[in-house]
Amino acid sequence: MTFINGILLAGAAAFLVPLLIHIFNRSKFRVIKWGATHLLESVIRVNRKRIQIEQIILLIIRCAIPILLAVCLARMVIQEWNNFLNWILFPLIAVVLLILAALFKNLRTVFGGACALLLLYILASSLGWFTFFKDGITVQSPTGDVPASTVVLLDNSYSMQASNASQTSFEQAITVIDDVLDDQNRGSDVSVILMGGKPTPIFDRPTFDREGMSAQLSGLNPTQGAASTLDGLNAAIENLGAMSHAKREILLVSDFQRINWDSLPKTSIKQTTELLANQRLPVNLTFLHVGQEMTENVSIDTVELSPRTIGAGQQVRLRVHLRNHGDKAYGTGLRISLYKDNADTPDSETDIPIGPQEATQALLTCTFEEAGSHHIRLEINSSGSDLKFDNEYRVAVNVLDRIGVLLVDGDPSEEWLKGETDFIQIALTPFTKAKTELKDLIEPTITRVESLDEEALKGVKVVVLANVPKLEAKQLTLLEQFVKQGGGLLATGGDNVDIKWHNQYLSNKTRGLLPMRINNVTGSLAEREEQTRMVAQHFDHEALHIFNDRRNGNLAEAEIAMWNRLVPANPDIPPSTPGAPTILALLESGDPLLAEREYGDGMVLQLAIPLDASWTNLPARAAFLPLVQQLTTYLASRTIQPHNIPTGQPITAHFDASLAGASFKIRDPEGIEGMVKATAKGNIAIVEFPDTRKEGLYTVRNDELESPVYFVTNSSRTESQLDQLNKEEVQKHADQLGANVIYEESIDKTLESYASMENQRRHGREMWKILMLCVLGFMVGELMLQQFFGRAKS
Amino acid sequence: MPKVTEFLTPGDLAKLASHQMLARQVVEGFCSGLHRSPHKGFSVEFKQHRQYVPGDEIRHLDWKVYGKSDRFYIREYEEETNLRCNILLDASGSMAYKGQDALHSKLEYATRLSACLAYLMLHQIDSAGLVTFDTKVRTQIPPRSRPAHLQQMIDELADTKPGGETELGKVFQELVPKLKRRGLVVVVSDCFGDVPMLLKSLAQLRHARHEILIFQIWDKDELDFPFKQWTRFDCLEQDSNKHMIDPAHLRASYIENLDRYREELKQGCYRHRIDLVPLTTDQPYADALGYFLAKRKHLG
Repeated sequence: MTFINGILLAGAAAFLVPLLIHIFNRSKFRVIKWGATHLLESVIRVNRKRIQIEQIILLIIRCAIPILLAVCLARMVIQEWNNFLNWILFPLIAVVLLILAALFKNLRTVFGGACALLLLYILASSLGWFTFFKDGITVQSPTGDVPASTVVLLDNSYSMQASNASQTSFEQAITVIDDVLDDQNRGSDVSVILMGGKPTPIFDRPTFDREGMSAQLSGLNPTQGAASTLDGLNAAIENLGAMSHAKREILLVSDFQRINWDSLPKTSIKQTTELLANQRLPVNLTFLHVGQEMTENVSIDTVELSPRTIGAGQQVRLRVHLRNHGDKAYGTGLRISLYKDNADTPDSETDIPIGPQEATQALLTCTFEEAGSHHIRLEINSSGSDLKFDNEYRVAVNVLDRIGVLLVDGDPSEEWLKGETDFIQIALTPFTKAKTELKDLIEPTITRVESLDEEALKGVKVVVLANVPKLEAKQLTLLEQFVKQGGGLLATGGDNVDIKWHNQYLSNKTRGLLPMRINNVTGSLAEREEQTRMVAQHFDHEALHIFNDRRNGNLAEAEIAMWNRLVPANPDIPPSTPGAPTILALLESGDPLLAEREYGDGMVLQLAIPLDASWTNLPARAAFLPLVQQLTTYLASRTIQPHNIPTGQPITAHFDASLAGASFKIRDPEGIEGMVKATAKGNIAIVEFPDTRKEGLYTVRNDELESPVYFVTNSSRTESQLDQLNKEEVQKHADQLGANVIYEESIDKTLESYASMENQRRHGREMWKILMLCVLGFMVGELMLQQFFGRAKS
Repeated sequence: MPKVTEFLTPGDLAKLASHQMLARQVVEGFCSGLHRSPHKGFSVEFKQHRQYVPGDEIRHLDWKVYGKSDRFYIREYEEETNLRCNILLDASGSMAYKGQDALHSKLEYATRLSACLAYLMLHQIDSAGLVTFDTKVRTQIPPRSRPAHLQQMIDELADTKPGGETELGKVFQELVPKLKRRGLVVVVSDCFGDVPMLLKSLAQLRHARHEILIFQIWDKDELDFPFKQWTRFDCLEQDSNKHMIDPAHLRASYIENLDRYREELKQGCYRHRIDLVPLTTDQPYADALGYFLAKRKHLG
């Protein structure tokens, strides 16, 4: 015996109301000095006992009404007849017998005796001495007769797109679900949870609207990543709690891919099993298999893009990781086509041979002439693949026009390569300097310290302070503001730096821009013993990790004769808090070489050496150019939001502050458009779109934008492994969770065996209708008895 | 000293006057009383001769006529005496009941009614007497016909306080020998108590050839029993007698019991040719006087 709305049982306490009224009435009486006592006395003498009995009966009925009503509203569900007899039916009969005993004087003994016997039986039965139905007969109600609460867990991972000749697995699943729901009682409620990626219900609440649900189901596409079975089951159990009926069912419709099930942790399975077992109302869990065993599949697992920051006219390299899950060999090569933006013809193509169960890589390149947001579609042409979805992969590319870099020269010189910024300029514009046709991404401007003003900062993303002695107060404020709003700052050391001014204003403990103070200048140009090198180390930092590959140059080769000894500007600030300095590279002397810190929305890098040849031979080393390029692009791309994101992660697009409040149209991979308003945050406008469960291309548009901005979501390609569990294996998993399994070859057979299984199931029965009748009966009875008892008795 | 007007409102007095006028019109010979006396033989004024019939008293034979005509004639006289009325006022504890919406208690109503009756009687030159009683006779004012007698009765009525148990049967038995001359006995009481005992003593009064008119005074509550909430009924006559009941449940039985009692009393009175007039305390006194005059007329 359970209750669907158990909390409403508390309403049974309302039985106190008639009881209190009764007691209150007796305690609050009036006194009348009465003359006709002789008329009253005989009446009282004759009726006293009867009235007492009548009042007790009325009181019992009045108290029983709220109790029954509460049990009715709490929606009692009976699974076992003995409980119903003991707690509802027999007590009610006892009350009725009591009433009959009061009404029929002649049969008082008979009714009273029967009532007493019944009460004795209830006592004996509840103490377990005796039961009416020895084996505890379970309440049964046929499938179609009682309304059910059903949660359908639908696997919409992309593997469900795998198709045989006529239907995809997903289409089969929809047909089965539609048929099962059609057979249910009219009052049934249903909730469908999509298991792909993160479990998501189709409707926020369980619905009784079958047609609406059907329409929603038919519009679904399986485009999600791996199905999360246990999370889905947990969500389904939680959903069932809010549903209406006693007959509860979870229907898991999936292709039962081995990859999803073999990786389930045992402890989680145990937890879910316990959760299922601890439900107040029993839950029928059914595993319904759809789709056929298919194995042939080739997938693009992932694509690596380099370089990270792409300029207009620069070559983009795409490393495509391919995997053959099947047993078919592609000896003549698997054709990979690259399509730029929305082009119908491939921009480039290549053929890669791949053997059965093998993984390989292919390298493709392309160039974008125009700056802005672009996307690339990679496609493999594999006619033998059972699953088409993973034959395609998209990448969003953000092509920058030019990165404006302002080089503030603290030690200018007319002589070639003697100026403080000459080497930096060469490193930033290698193609221009080499007079090749290729274009440089970075556009440096050199300025003297005194010319650093608002005008000079226009269109600039990164400022390099090269050996700058000191700045005017106004310039310092300007620079602080620039970084705070997302700009990048690279400060190099050098002999010109006014250490005192530097430590007081730039590396101030509380409000300095730079992460480190300069203790002193150390080392010697002449004495080799006092010189140092950079520590050869593995770099985790984004700006330096390319140097882990020695082909990009070895930073440790450079000799450093002199350097600024850097110490943290604010040693009290705990590491890993915003604004705390991070040392990125060390010298062999133990001093920091490169440190960074966040400042506002921007980033500051501080170097202990100048980027010219005065203190070090670094500019003559192969690593110099990539280092300067990396540091600059790192600082410049700090504000560039990622455009390739995993499914489920929200899209965040940054726009100019003038667009704050403007409406943006977002079009998802299925072509459904939504509107999002940009919100102002600091000096930028942000568009956020959280619903990225679908895999593919998202387009963000606004009339004021010249071209749309593209985002691409990609999910894990684990589902590409189409190997499915066989019937025995599914049964094994089902046994763990206490589920029934329907694993048939065709849809018709599936439906048939589901129907026959349903017919054998037993469900608890809701008793509210019977209880409501009892309440009504008692209410009418109370009225009639009151009238009857009020009548004169001879 | 209480005045008549303390008991009678001007309206009542006016009604009374009209009743008196009515009586006057009906009865001629106002000097010798409004009504002829049924008593004969107390020799005041010769009325007529009539032939002797066996059973007549021999002492009433007119021997002179016999001497002249050799026939037996009876000499009949007309007595000039007035009607002797005794008002028997019940002042027992139960008469102290005053209903929820009533203006007067039953006793107050009864004393006012008695005053009205006394006034009426004396103005009709009838003799009026007053007996107040509860368990036993408290006071007895013998019937007189002097107008000044009214004042004495009114004083007595004003002093009457409720108390004691109703013992109508016993009291009436006690009264039988005291009311020597036959006349009209007007009982103003709620007649609570043992009905057979009451009827028995009333029969004795009737046997003494008294005409009896009972004004049974009820309060509306006693007839309707309109109480709803839990109530403790404290007996007015016995302090220890208290009953805690839910009156709504008992109403029907009470009404039935009441009807039975009233029917029993009514039948008993009918049997003994006693007029029983139930009155509720909200009824005008004039109604009662109407009954009285009707009875009086019948007697006349």
